[in-house]
Amino acid sequence: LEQAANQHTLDPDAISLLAKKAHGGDAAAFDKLVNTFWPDIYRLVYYRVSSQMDAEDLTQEVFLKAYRNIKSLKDQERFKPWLYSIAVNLVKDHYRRKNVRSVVGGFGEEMEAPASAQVKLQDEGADEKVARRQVWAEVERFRDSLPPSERDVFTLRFMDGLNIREIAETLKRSESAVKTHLYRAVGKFKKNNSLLRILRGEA
Amino acid sequence: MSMQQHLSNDEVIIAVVDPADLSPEKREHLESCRVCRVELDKLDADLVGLGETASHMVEVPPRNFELPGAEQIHHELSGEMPRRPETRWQNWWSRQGQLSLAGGLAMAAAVVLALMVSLSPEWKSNPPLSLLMAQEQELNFILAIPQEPEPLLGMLADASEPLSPFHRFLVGDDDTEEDNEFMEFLAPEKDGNLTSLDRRSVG
Repeated sequence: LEQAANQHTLDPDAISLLAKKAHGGDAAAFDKLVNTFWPDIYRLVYYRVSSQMDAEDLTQEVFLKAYRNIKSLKDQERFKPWLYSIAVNLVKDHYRRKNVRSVVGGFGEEMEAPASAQVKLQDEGADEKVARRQVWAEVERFRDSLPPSERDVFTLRFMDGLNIREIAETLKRSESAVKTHLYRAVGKFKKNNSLLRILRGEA
Repeated sequence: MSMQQHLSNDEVIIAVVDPADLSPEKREHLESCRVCRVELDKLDADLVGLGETASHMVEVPPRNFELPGAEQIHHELSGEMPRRPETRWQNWWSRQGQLSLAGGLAMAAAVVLALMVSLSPEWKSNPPLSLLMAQEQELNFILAIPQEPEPLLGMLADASEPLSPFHRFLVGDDDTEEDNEFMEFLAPEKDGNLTSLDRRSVG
């Protein structure tokens, strides 16, 4: 179990077992859960905030909040959607804070390069870097074109890799509502020829 | 459903999101129709490609924090919350915000005090002890001023006294009778309906 946790791959039963132990006060078990979900939660946050610095801070905040509130998790088999809901809500809080700060005057907030310039670009040739930036910019453009409800479920399903039941639990909506938003978002994705060409490597 | 009649665009989307939502007849068609299968697999591959591309693009940094120690877990379970590590922007706020916050509060307090003093009638009629003491100090300061230039004030008092008959003779001011008549003309005294001038003319 420990080896699997360090490799960031755990089956649902193993996650439930660790969540039960963490619920009982086992810090080591929770630590393994952090190792398991750290990459996924970081990506989830990064897809939404498009800033490496903010993503690191928020990911840390997600796990600390989960750690402090693990006793409130009644069904430990639902640890994953519970953790994801914490992450999604903290991202929303982040945007609220950011809006308040921008209204008040920014407080000299450190500016970062756009997300398209921060994706993995190390050890790559110039052409590949440009190609990656184009792909990322196109993905962001598509996501930004979706209404918030469709964007939330589409990103959770096809970028974060949650299934419909997990999305419903994460967003606290019915599965039918999640599917309705997914139908619409996938319909728009299917018509987005510029994004499809880039993803297929035709552009 | 015949083999010539394929799934509509919406049905392909439904099949991608959740095939269980298709009718049994259409699910059966999808199993056996190569055209519909290719259409479905193409869309499915595009969506999977989106997830893989996004995941591949973001470089996940190593985990950058440790959970609070085991002794803190005990505190947490007993209701005491450990101190949270500050995020980067919270550090910035604590550095930058404390001075400006203190200054802002002091200014706000001064403005509120000034408004209360100037607007409140009760405050005016019953000022606080500190204000009375300040007023008393100010009054003492004002009363202390004339003690120094006493000779000047004495000279002014002497100058305002009536002149002696000798001095009045010297300045040609000995005709008091004419002065009295002139003053009666300017401001006649009332005595019934007759002025002193009227009485004189009648008499």
